[in-house]
Amino acid sequence: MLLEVRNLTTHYGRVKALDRVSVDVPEGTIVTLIGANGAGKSTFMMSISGVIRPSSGTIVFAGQGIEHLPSDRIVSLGISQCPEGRRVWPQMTVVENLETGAFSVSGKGVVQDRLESVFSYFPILKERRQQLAGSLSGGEQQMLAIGRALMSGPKLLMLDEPSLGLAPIIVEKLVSIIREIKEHGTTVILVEQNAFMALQIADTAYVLETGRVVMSGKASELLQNDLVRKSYLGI
Amino acid sequence: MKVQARIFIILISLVALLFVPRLFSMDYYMHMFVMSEIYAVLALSLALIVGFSGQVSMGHAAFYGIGAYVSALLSVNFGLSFWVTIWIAGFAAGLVSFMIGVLVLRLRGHFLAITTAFFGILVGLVFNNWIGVTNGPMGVAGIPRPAPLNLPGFTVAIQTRAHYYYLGLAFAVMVAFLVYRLVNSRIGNALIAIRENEELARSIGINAMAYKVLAFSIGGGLAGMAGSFYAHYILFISPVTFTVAESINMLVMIIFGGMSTLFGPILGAVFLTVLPEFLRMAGSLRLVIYGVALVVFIIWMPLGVWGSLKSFWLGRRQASLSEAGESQEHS
Repeated sequence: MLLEVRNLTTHYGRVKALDRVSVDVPEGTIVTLIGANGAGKSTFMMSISGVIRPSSGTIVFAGQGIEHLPSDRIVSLGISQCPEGRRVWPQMTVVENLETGAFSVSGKGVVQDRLESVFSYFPILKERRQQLAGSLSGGEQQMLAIGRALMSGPKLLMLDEPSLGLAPIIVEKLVSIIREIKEHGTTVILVEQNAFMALQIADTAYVLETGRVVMSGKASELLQNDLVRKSYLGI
Repeated sequence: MKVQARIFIILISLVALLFVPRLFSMDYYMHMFVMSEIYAVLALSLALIVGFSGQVSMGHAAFYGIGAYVSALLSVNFGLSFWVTIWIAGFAAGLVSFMIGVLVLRLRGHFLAITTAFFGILVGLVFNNWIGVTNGPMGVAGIPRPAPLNLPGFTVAIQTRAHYYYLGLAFAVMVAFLVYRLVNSRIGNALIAIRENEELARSIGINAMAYKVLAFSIGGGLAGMAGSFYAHYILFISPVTFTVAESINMLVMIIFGGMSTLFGPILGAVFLTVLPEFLRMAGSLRLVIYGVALVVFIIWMPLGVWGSLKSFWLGRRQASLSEAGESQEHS
């Protein structure tokens, strides 16, 4: 197991955003968390990456407890996060954004190699390398945000709502790139409101409701589950 | 603009600056220029904190003052030379700003601004009331001039305003170069990433607190060195020079010039040191005109004078870049 989360509880002040959430992420798979707005999906990711401190529970990554580590240590251990809403640095160029993503990496050669591999996933970024990130289209910004997360060379990549606000044709493109990333050996946690897209590419899935895991299992089985179909797929 | 062209322009301007004392022989003008140099260092050091790291500090004059007092007291009481005390002053101010930074930089926005302003007031109270050491409101007098500078081949005594002008020019150029190297390094990228979006910066593995404290300490240390230069130039210091109003004055300079650029703070420092003097001919309307001018600039050029010019120029370059990108796509 690459990542083992046990009874993770996170509060915002007095509000409990995550309530004893346990999630297993086997190496080399795509695990998805689906759920409505406010179910705690983003909180889950930020608790793992150390941006928010969980109030209790354990997070074990590659055999090491990380729930008390600062976020920069967590990144250098190999967990990378692509936050919600295509957050890029609009005033930096595409290349600068990517290089900043490799902040925990030392060595110019390594950074250059990573840059090339990101460009091979997203050729459009290579064409736009000197443009300011703020001038890219929504889909391109999302690609840049994912590319930046890949720059640290993660073992585990966490994507928060990558499909948000993108045209269906771009979502399809992203799906194939996420699959490609997995095939190259990076484990992926995918947080999505677009449950249909997420369940199609994930191996296992967890359904979150108001901070609790209410259902989990193989993604292909959840795709057939009546409750999931009714509540999240609208079928 | 090509890098070579840029270096060429900078060199030409530096050579031109070397001739300023020949053109303006009046002491009054030379004094304004020396003060401009001191303010250029202060504005650059503040721009590192506010412009590049996005941490609004309203207590910068405190570090300026700490440097001035440390340097002045060491030379007056222990006879240490300016060439030694300027480093001690910088180190002392840097150390204090490190300690304050660790405490206050977890705050953001208005809270940080207000807390640093109170720190400035606190330091002012110490200058005023620790009479045994600082001589209180009477200030410290009799600060010696810098000892003659032994260059290979000849010796220069620092006596006239022109001497201070050249010394200050060297100081300002070195600080500008240091800040330039800093903001164009990995550290600079981290600072800008923190300024634009701190959560995002942390989520990709930047230790935001460490970099904010680093910028704050370096900025404070440079302000302390500027304070030392000031003390050994004016030869008298008192608490009234290092108030919160002075901190705000520095903020106005970098806002006016453009705080996320390198040239902007220098421009702001020179312009806002010289302008009020030239407005003296307007008599009692002086401060009114000054105020109106500032408001107009902030409304019409929110990025500062230099920042606005730069973004206009960058915008044109970006437009031509994306046109080029699109035509590539079509072909």
